[in-house]
Amino acid sequence: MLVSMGDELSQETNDRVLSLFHQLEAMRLPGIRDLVPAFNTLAIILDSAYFDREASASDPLDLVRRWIEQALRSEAVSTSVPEQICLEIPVWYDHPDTPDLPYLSDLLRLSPDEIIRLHAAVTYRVFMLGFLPGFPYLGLLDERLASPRLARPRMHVPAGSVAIAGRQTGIYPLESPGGWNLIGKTSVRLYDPAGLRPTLLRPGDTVRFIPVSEI
Amino acid sequence: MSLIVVKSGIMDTIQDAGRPGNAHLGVPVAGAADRAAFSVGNLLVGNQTDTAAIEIHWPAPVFLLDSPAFIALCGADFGATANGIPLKPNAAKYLSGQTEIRFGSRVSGARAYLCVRGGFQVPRVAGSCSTHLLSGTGGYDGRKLQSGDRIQFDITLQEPLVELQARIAGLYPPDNTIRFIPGPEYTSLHDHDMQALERENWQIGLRSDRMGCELSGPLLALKKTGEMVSSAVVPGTIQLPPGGKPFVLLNDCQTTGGYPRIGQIVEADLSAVARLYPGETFRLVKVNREEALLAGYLHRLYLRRLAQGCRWHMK
Repeated sequence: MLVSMGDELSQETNDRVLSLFHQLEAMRLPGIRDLVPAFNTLAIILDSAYFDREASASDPLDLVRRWIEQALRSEAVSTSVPEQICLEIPVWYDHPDTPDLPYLSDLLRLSPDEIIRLHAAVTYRVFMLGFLPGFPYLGLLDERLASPRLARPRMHVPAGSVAIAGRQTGIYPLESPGGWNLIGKTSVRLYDPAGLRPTLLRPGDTVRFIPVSEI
Repeated sequence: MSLIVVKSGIMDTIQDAGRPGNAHLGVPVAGAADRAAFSVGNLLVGNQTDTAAIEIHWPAPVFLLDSPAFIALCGADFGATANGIPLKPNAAKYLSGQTEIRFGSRVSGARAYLCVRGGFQVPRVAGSCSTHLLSGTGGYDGRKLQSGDRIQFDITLQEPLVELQARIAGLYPPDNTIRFIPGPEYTSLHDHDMQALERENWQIGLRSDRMGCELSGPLLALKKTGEMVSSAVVPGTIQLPPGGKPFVLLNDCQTTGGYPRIGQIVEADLSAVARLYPGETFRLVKVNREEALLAGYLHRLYLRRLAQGCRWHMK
């Protein structure tokens, strides 16, 4: 089931998505396999086998609708939102592995230092995680830094690359193919599958980038 | 007690029922792609249906058992032999130590599951033994099996079990007719492309792995183009990338995607997609939500009956 919370990509829309996500998560409902928040949608993945046993619920969607209404009502008295972290991530901008700063400087008509200053000036929100385990979609990027994706995605983007595309910025947790513009590198580990907290960031967390000269 | 990989196959991984509950962190569910065959294989050796098994693709590997084991091969028929003696598909078998398991030729199917009584032992990561190759998560060191790997299993048989063979045809739709429900962006298809989706024969393309498979057939187009805001996808989602070739996502797929989702394969038929080999054809037929739920219910009922049958015979 896909709940759409608005068409535009904005902080307010994502607020509503994450608020519903946290409420439903806190309700620890049986029969839900996964909750997947995205920019403006929340997907509720049901465990259909659970509903085999629920003879009373003729249609699982009716039950899910009731859950959502319940979650939206309890929003005002929310005490359930998990502790969100504000993380400072050190970034070596213009690292040899992340070569797109000069190209962006030409494209955006901003000096590399100005790009770095604008990128590091904002406290970003984790709108969603996706694409790779622990890959945070962070926003919103300063309008002046908005830039198109690469026409030809790279086959190998190194792990730890800090990148921008559109009004978003993100960090590649693993080496992978990728089409975003690479502006810096961090040694912070975003995905540790065997760790207690497999991904460093969760939806709703906030992030600041701190320019450093080595990582 | 262990199984030794004498010669690696093209892509063999440890899989179980996957790691749901982590999609909000971007962690894919992974798990056995042909879940039906995987479950039956486990039932045949008296395991819980979510016990870790080896998912085998073609070309297949060569294995050596260093000790006695009670095994079942389920799903694809790759002409398996144990020390040269044919192993029946979808059947359990006692094998003595120093038995070599080979696969002679691909008879049917795309994925076979080697299940062993007691299950293969690899560390659980986020609650699951499943391998997710792209992120190196879970399974045997997060990767596909290589020559020389030794995978432990724990055989703790109280009493001998019966060598059963399962009839699994009822777990798959007849005539490779795969059911789907319309996806969130289905209505963005042109009318004639909506019809083509159900009228044409579709073929599993060569770009096919555990992330998903490209479909060969007529090219489809959307009424409006442009970038879509990323949103959730799951195994069974039919995406339509700009090239016009539909792409069915499988278990290793990402948790979110930006391509229009024109359909969603019903849960009951997802195993049927996973057992199709590149080049094989199938039809798509649109059903409504009620039909999809009923199909799922009947699928699980059939599996429960098989489980009851296995337990009854093993008493």
